[in-house]
Amino acid sequence: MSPVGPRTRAGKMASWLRDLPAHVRGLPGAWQRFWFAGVDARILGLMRILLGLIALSTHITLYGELPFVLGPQAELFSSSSLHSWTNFSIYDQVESVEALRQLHTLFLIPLVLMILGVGGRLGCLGVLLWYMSLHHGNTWMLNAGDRLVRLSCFAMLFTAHTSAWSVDAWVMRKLGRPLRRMLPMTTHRLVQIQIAWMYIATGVAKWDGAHWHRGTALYYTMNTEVFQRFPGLLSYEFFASWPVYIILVIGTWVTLYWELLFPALVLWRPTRILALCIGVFVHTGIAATMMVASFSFASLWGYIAYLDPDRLSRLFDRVERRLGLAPPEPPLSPEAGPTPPPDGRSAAPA
Amino acid sequence: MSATPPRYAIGPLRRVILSLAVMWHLLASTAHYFRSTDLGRDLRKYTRKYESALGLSQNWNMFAPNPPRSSIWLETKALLKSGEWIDVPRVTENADGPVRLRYWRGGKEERYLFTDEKKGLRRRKTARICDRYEAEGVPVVAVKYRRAWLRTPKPEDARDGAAAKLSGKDLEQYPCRR
Repeated sequence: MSPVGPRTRAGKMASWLRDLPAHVRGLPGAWQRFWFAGVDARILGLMRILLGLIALSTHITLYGELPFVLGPQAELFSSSSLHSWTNFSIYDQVESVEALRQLHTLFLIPLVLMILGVGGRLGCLGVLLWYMSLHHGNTWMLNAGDRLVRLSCFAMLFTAHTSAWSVDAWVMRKLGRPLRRMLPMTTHRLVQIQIAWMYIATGVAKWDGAHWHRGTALYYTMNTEVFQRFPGLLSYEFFASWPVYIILVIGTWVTLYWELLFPALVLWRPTRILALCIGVFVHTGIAATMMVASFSFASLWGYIAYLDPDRLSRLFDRVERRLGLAPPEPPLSPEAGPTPPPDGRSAAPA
Repeated sequence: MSATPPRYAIGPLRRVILSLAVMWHLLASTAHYFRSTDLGRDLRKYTRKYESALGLSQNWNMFAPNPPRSSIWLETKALLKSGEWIDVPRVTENADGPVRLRYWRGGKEERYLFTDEKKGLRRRKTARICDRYEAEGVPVVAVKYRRAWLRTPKPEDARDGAAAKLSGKDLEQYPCRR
């Protein structure tokens, strides 16, 4: 009998673990590298500011339509908060239009906190609660952009996103307190998964449509009057004219295959760049020609999570140096994480 | 074994807590995505409240499987005491111009309130319209609805000069209840 044999239960367990195939033993490490590898806190700072601005634009544009779409007096009243306490909407608690406007104005506070980066995650949490109240207050009036922003706010809560480019960071620097330079990739990963899911879900749904295979889908989409940005200017004749029509046919096929293949394309850097470039072109085109609210901006915001964090860091360094904004090196927090990542390679965006 | 021990942006305790949170969120999302399967139905017994509260529901079927061949909207008319029918303005009517810069959420009502299963919402809309006109000193007796649609011509027909065809179908009429 071997003197070092597994005699105890723990020893048997350790032995069993050692006997597992190497790729299985590596799973916990791979999970942690995937979700918790470090990224520059400034990227999260940029994402926080841009997401806050998108949410702010929604807040402002909603103001004029408030009595119509929210509150018990709304003409289009479809609150889900009546069905369950989990669907609470604070908009259902007000009786008058004036109170509704005041309540809505109050939500500017978390929006401003989020954009400026004050109070840690509190601002973002407030914005998420506001979006949840909108969602439950009237599920009818929301759109895909609102949905993306709401889920993105939720993803932002997984990291301390006010560690850079924020009032919080400025105060910490003034006080000589340690700053986090690196944050876990958790938000990046959640956003990546959300965006990839969105594309493949819509791609699969479109695959059954004859117009997408025939190449006529964009022609009919552009001619749907209720979505048109230029309803009186661009006519059927314009979209049906041969040069424009050929562009729309090619655009239809590119859109279909790009959406279906997006999750695969973003796995490899060269194809990732191609997928994101097509995405920028598609979403810019949608925003320019169709009324889809913040959907295009929210989708493009999600692309930041796919960009190489090391390259973005170097870009930020250059910009900060050029603008003379590069702060003196602050002390690092004990949880500041490595700079650069431990294996010397970039934390892969996907 | 790696010479450099793995290091992460946060400590082990936070990694465990965040891992559990992420796993729960992914489980709830998966249950929602596959809600039509047996597994999804079973999982949603536990995740439904979380899914509902956060608003995890997702539908990415816009313009799928096919984009609409027509622009469809709801037309509303109100009957005055004098017996005259007047048009109730569409939400986006005043916003319409050569260029639409602003997204009108009320426009969703016009786009989706015309189907049979939205009768309840039309009835509610009737009550609001009656109240609004009453408050403005123009008593309304009844409200009626009509589904209108503008059929997009096929591309080859459009090249031959065909115009979009406007059609409509009367829906129900509701009295104003006092």
